[in-house]
Amino acid sequence: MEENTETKVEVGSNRVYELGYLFVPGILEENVAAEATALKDLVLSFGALPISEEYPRLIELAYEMEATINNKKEYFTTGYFGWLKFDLDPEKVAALHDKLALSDKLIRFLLIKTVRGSTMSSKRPYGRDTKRRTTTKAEDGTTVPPAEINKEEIDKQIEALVSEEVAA
Amino acid sequence: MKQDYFSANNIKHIDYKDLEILKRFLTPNARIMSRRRTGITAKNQRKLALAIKRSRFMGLLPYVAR
Repeated sequence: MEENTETKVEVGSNRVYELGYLFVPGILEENVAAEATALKDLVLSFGALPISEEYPRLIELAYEMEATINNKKEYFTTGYFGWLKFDLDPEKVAALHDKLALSDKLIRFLLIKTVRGSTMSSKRPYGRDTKRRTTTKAEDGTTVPPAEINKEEIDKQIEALVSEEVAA
Repeated sequence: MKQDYFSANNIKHIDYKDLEILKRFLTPNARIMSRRRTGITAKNQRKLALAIKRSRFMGLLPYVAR
């Protein structure tokens, strides 16, 4: 049976986690990096070891989100989305979660178990893994190779059609 | 029989940030396609559903689209 890498406990009792977060769009563009660093420092203060990360970038949210920031209900349609992958003792995760929940800079965050390596798969075409068929089958079942295309001839024909239309 | 997309492409972990892939398994109304339509294994269908739900929570994918 295939090994479930998601639930596998890492060596040294640490486990790989990923924190995805959405910063409020009110943060100035130049301060976003500083906020991301502050968030990272907060995570590292729990004894986490960083693995990889992506700095936040402004994204359009798929739907309007509601969040209570400083005891005030606010609505957001954009936000700075970033993520951070790190190694952490599973016993400290709950404390980290509670600490993150207090932040007034975050609209939402997602703290999940993941695997160490990159989980983003490269872009592959879906539904066309095989090469496009270039031959057609004749009525008798034999394959017919595609007809040769003479570009000059086609250009001439197009020009002729255009001149006909202009004349008309 | 349809082949499992994730096994065919050797994808072991379905990431909630991988929108290119997740969008392939959503209907025009942004609902998760059934296993009958996706043709993927039950195990991967569960992983896919979890990834889509995480992505929705973070506002990367919509819950509904009209």
